Amino acid sequence: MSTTTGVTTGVIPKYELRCRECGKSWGNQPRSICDDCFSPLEITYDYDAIRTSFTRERIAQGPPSMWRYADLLPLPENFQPTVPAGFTPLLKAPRLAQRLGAKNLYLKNDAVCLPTLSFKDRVVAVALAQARNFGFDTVACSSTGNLANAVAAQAACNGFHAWIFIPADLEPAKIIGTQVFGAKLVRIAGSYDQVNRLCSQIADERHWGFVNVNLRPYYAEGSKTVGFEIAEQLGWRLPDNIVVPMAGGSLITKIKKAFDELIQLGLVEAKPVKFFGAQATGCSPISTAVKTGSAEIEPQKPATLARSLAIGNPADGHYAIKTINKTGGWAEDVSDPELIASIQLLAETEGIFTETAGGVTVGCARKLYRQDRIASDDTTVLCITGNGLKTTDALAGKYETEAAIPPKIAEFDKYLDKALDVPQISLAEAVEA
Amino acid sequence: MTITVQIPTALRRLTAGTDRITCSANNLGELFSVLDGKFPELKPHLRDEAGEIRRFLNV
Repeated sequence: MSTTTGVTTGVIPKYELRCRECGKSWGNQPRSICDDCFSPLEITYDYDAIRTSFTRERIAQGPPSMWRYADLLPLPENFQPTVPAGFTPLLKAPRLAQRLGAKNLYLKNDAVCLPTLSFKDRVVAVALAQARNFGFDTVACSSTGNLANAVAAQAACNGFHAWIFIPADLEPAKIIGTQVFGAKLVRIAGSYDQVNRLCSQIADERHWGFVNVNLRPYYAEGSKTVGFEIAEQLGWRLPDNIVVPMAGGSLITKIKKAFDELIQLGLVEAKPVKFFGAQATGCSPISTAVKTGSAEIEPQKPATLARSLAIGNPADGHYAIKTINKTGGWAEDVSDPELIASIQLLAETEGIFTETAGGVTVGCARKLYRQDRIASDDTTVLCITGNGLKTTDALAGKYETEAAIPPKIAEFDKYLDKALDVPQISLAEAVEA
Repeated sequence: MTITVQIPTALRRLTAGTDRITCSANNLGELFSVLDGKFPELKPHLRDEAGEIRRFLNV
């Protein structure tokens, strides 16, 4: 039997909202908080009903996108996907591995996730499916940038009006990359946490589908597809370790949920996977809690170049800490110079240009290998969640603008002689040194 | 200190429809006590069995 706000329906849905703490069932509706105890709501599934359809064979026949895992996503009946989000490459990274002292390193590359080049395309795709189902004609979000891009783009191709609320100091590429889709962009003179608080108040007043407020439980489930894909791309096995960037702390908990679901449904063998969280030191409420052995978040005022991770009061921080501690993982954080050097390191070794959050992940992974918290032989996956073309300003001043030379071979020879005189050392190496 | 408290829609069933109140309190503890007294039905939603402010309340 299931209940919707206390009313017994008698129908067991495939999925429904349930309070993470008191367990009260809330059916399916645009809501993220349990009114009884203010705890966050979570989607729970009828796994017995899903077990027969969610098989390796059925998944292999599905589309090359996150929709191949539709059975374990909270999607309305007869939902027809409009964007081919997800199923991004899982790449072996031998050259980066060598530099980190690793032997078995993989990159989950959501820098090329469609349509807007970050993992946020996954969560928005699920949220908008439910926005339509709940009858919203306007969708909205508070965002540190990537979510803004994803909501704006997917609102455009699904015919929603979009209102996007951002901290005023966001990177220019993320602002243009939102406005170009015709979304209304509201710049707020404040931090992300202040923007988010404002959005909670607006969501209370207006009939809008805020993907990360009243649609948050549905939205967050989209992140599980990162975990499903990693397992499938490793040949239906789980890694030993995974390193995940943390802003609100949702992604790391949802990858854990994905692995647990695959084990429960018999698609992978059970094995312990250590979850490692990565933050920028200038906004590190979760890693600070892990390092100090606290189960609770002490909110911070962000001061970091990694704006996509600059959430000082993370909504899922408490659960991210639990995931890390329960799995025997750890959390680390890196300074702005370290994250920049790590962007360069990833680019120079593997040809992947990630944004600041990816630099944080690579930088923290390097620390974790050095601390022997990750063993070099272990199968380890780093989650690269966004594209460097959105945060090029983070690299401002890192590369000299070359003077133009005349279009003559003699001039080029002269130029080459001069260039070869200069010791060849990469910028990432220079910073490391 | 005079404080205006806005009550979110979802909680107004516990405040007899009141959407905002103005009261006097010098700190959060005092403010919660004022709310406890004014809206007894709201109290168990703000405080746990031990009387502590619930973990997921953002203060």
